Amino acid sequence: MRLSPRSVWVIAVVVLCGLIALPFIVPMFWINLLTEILILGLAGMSVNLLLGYGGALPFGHAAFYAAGAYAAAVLLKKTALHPAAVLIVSPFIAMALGAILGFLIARLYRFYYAMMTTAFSMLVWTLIRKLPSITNGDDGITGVKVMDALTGVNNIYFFCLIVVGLCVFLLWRIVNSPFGWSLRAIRENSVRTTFIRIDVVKHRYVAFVVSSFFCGIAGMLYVVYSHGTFPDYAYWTKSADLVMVCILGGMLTFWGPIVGAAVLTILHTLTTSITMYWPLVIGCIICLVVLLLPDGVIGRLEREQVQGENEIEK
Amino acid sequence: MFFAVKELRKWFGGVKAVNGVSLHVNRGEICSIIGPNGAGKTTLFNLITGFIKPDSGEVTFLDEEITGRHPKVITEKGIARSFQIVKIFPRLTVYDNVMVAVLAQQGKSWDLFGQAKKYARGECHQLIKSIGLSGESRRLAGQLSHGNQNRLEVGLAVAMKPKVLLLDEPTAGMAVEEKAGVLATIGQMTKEQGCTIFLCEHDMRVIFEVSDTVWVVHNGEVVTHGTVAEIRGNDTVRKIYLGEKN
Repeated sequence: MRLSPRSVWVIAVVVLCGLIALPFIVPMFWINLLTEILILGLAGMSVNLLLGYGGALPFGHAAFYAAGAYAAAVLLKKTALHPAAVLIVSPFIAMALGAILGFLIARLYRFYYAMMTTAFSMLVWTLIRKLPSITNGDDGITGVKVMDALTGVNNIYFFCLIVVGLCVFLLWRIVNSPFGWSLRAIRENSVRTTFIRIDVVKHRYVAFVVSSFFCGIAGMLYVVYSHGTFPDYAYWTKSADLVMVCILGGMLTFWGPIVGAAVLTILHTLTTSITMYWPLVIGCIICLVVLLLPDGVIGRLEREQVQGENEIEK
Repeated sequence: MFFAVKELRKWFGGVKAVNGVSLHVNRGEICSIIGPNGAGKTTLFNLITGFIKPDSGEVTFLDEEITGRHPKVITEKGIARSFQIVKIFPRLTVYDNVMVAVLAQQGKSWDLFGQAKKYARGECHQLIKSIGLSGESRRLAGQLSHGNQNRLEVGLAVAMKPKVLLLDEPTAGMAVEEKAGVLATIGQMTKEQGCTIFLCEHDMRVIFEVSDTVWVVHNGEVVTHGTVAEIRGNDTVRKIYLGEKN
């Protein structure tokens, strides 16, 4: 299957129109599901900036997801700040955390990078549980009301759609910018990039900080959606989910994490309603997908497109 | 002194990879370095370009000492290199490989929101044409033939618009006609851009065709240097490298 860039944009516009029309067509259950897919997809895209484009393996982005969520929840519940200001500030708190960790790990590679990020997210998880005066500890923070305009399934859905849409646009600009292409070069050969005047460590650091910002936005959105937050949002399994959506959808592609988020969310919803052994079922299905579609869903489609173009050129 | 190396030394345990090498390169010339395998040529390039740090010695460029500086800093000063084992970006197309290098040379790698593909199109295509890969610009670099990957490797170095270009066996594995193309590019660089070339090669025909000066290295030390004619007639060089019958 060969798609021109124009075709891709036409499909994107059609999908967007469908997303806008859906609340008026389908039951509330599917709108909630779609909201979760959008939020998970955004978090996955933030991870993919490092994983797919930067060639790193971040296993601790749950820390920033939770930081954005807890920042929003705590500020809304415990301060008199205007809700709009809280929603804007929360991702920056996640980004500040990313700036600290990024400084520590920008020089690390592979195994050490993955272990440090994992350790950091578990540190955040522990702090959340051990500071009950701020975070309510293991009980989490519930009953978070954002503002009157953000009540009701459809309003929350449209808010998330707009925010995720803006973030996707910004991420699109970033990955196709000279900075984004420098990241790809670092992924392909970090030694060579040093010899073409690209500061590998600084580029990886900035990418990490930017990624943590968008992950923090996803965490904030989940508080808007679920009206609460829990320590598990910082647990390493959440980080694994974010990496998983990139792999399922295609980590060398832009849209892969969104597709991966859809696959994982729908799988999870379907299997939990059918069997109590849903982790086993999901695990088996994911293994099959990874074995049969190693490039992910979108990655496979793009590979066929490139091969088709090369065949035509011959 | 335009470019000079003084008593450069690098030992790896008991192995004297580079053992007190001193040489100089004049502005605008094509200077070659030859020697048998294991003579220390690539190690010397690695020391000059900051890939590895020397144990002692000095590297100066335009009267500024650059010994052991970070490779990015040395590249910014005007020294670029290609690698013996190609270090290209295999999953990017030829165009994208060149584009990344050109944009980095223009200082645009920190542009987070511009559209990279809209910048420097003409320059990228011109560079791809100069390295003879016009018909391959949309092919993934990892799918190129070995010879074309070598061309791309040279192109990435040329994109830095260097004052000194270090080429480490740029024609390795190439057919005769392919080598001619690379030599033409080298000649063009020197003439049109005033670039100084420091070339490491095993193919003597290439060396003798393009070089102004030749330095001979053996066991990590400089044996002799001179013009092509002087080196051809040097008995010591014959024994070490060219063989008795030559």
